Amino acid sequence: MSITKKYKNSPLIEAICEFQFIHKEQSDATIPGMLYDKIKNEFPMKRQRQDFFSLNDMQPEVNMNDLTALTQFYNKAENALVQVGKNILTSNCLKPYPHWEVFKPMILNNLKEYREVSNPTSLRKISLRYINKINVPIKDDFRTSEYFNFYPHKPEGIKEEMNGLDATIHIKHNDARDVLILRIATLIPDDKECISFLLQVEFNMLKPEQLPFERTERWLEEAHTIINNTFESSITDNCRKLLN
Amino acid sequence: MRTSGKYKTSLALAISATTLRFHEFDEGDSSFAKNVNRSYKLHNTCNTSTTISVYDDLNKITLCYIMTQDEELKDFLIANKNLISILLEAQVQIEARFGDVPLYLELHTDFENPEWTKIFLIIKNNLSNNDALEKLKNLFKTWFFFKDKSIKRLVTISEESQ
Repeated sequence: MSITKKYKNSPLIEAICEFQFIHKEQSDATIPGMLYDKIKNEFPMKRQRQDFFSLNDMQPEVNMNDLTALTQFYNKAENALVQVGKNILTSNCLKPYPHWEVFKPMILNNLKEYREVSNPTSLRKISLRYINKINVPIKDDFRTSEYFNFYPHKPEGIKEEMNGLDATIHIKHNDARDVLILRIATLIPDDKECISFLLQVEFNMLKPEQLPFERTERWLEEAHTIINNTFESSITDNCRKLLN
Repeated sequence: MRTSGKYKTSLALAISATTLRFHEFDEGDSSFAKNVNRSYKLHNTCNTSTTISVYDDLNKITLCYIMTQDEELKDFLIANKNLISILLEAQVQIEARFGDVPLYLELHTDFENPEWTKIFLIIKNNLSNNDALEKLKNLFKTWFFFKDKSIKRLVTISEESQ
């Protein structure tokens, strides 16, 4: 098990593990209900997300048949939830994050229950995503480089001032079967005394049918270690001081 | 192709009244050109987060709409997250019918009944009253989101011919 640095003022606002599946048969609309029966003790509160999205990344024009809505099952404290839709299952932890030692068993248990009710043939995609919000106090002569080792820059010819930033890089792993996506962006600040930065680290397995279900746990451990190392590499000691 | 290089620049980033300065940016090298075709399509299009969409999309809303009560609207939208994606979609639907017209968001509260708070989306336009009304009726008929009572309770769309 990887060792994770635990911060007193944890910047983590959400951790998400998303599985997309391939099924031999057409998706069954009763799956959310069957899954709910299995996990309702832990996640009793049902909700329906109003927004729809496409699971087909490659297709610019979205077909209505590809759209899926997510049914959500929250725990009583409303800081953890399961989302299920057509060929998709997510486990989400909100603030306060209970740490990997709790999150990983939750992910694996939800996956086990989903497989029992839905019987997917293989994995299309796995994504482990950590969303961090870091509030940096505003001061004169603020430098982003004091807090982050990863940020975009403006071409020299542009004289106007920036009022926000958003940058993403993709880094391949395991012969491009997996891709790490690192994103930094400014967010609407929590208050006028600070600048809020998003630092999102996401590790994805993107090649369908390349990872057997039996190796999911090992993949999750590796993904978690890479995410943790990437986060630590992306922030400076000044930033660590803010988090402690 | 190796494209390693070191670029140094300084620039200013203003948020609120403060100036932020980036001092150094080192672009590492790499086999970027070789790999880029493989990876660029892989960006996550599935919005499975329950938090970040709020912040990202709130930023987009400030670009799509003119909001005079910025702070109050932001708080209201965070409390009613479902509205955010609907307002973003509303902008697309309205533009398809009315064209690129200014869209205003206003928050109204009944002070005798503070629980009654609602967003008014106002489409300012130069059309005749009849034309504008026809387009508005078309929007309500063809866009299914506004058939949802829980949405109608929180958002009203109206047009204002100038």
